[in-house]
Amino acid sequence: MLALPFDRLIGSLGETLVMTAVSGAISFAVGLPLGLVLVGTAPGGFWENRWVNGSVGAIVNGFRSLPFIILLVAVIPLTRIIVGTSIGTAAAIVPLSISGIPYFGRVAEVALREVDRGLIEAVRAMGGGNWTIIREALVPEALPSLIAGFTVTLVLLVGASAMAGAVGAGGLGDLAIRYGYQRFETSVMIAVIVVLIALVAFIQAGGDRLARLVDHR
Amino acid sequence: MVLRLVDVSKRFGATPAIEGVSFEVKRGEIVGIIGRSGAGKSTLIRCLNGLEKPDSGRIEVLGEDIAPLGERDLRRVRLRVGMIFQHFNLLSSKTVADNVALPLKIAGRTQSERRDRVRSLLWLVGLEDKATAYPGQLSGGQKQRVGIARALAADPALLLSDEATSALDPETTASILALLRDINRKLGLTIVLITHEMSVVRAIADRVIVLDHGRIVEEGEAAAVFGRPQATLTRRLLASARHDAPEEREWFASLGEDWAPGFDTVFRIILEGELAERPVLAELTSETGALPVILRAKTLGESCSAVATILFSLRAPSSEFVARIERCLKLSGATVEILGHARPAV
Repeated sequence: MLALPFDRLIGSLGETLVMTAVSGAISFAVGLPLGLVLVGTAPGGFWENRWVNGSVGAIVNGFRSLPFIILLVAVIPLTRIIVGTSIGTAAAIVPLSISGIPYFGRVAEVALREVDRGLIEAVRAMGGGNWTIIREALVPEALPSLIAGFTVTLVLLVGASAMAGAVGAGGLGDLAIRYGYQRFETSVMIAVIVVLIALVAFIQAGGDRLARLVDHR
Repeated sequence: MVLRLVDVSKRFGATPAIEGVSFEVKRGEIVGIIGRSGAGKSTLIRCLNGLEKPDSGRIEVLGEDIAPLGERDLRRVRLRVGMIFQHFNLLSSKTVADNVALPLKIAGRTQSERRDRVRSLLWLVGLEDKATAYPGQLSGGQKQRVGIARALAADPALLLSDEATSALDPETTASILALLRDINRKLGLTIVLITHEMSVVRAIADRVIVLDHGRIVEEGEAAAVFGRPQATLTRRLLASARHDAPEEREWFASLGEDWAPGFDTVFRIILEGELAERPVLAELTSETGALPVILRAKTLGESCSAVATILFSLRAPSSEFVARIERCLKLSGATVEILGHARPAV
């Protein structure tokens, strides 16, 4: 009775890790530029543009107000275009990324906005342009906060991926619902909970460590 | 001529920050611009490297009018103008060496050029052993030395100092000013510095410009301005600078904030113009019966442009009496400051 759930547990953990890692990487890669646009186009920013700032902000807010379970089903047509299918682990990465991008975008915006304006001015005063400011001052100075924010985003994605079972993506959440809840196998439920707690603790500890490592303030 | 300003004005909304400012700075000169906070000093110095755009007037840096230039051309000008800041503005994520190398990177120098230049700059400011340290591990004075090395990296013709010593203690201030003086002599570097501290200008400047409400109220050779100050503001700044001597500051700091029975209260009053010729303290005695003991007094200038500073103590029978003295002096038109209360030394 224990052998089968154990294999399943490892397999599900793998699915959860793939979903979280890939959608996390996409969230970072798209969310960071999004945060830079939000900070840069804000009043007083280096690309100051009220119209772009307002519309990008509105789109971000729009996606962030959708509960994940609704987003998961609502983007099925898009998923089919991108991945070719609307079921499975790869298919779940599309809605997970769409949910993670605006979240990390806002997190990055806050982190970047906290950077002392005096530093930006110092780089301008030595003849640096906008890209120099971003590359040499904004992103490196915000890095500890960006890493802390990315850790929170990853934990959020672990949670969201539990719902991905609804589109047949598997993962730990799916295992807990089908075996632990629908088949009354309490031991499976407990095992999944323990693994999830350990996973989140691991991500958080790793993030904290990395953030401390790059923080020289 | 390194710098020439002609009739420069800038306003923020309806409030003018600087109005009709004109002056010149010769090569190798140290010019101190002094004024109270809100006098327009910061706006003025930020105009000198295009961080702020003037509404009108010419700002010639090395013969080129930078007022009409766009951001791209300004970047070229800024490579020739270094700047140091009150809060140092060092990048905490970079080592000391990388901070100093940044202007060279922006200027497009190669890695090996940068390494050699950084080494000699750190040696110049006395921090050759801190190359791999992060700014967070340095003291305030060391941070400003890094700021100076960074500002000098691209070999500028002009150094702008924006209240560079205002966040430092008196001893560190003196060492930073000595370093700037030294660099000025060794490299022939032209320096324009703004400050609200007369002691800074006195220690380093060849020429002084006094700014008030965005206008130049006095300008001249440092010795002449300090010897025969013309403007009322200059006198007042000189008067308050006298009280900023380290040993006096220490004494002021030792005074308590709370009044207690039997304590002496120390006042400082500043009397300007006609008021300086009136028997203000005698009037105070006849009105309130207070018996002030003069600790120190100084008058600069004479008649209608005189500024008198008087430091006195008196033993008040109650804290209400202290407040009454203050009210009475203010009513007569004096600037009143209660420095503190102390148990008599006897």
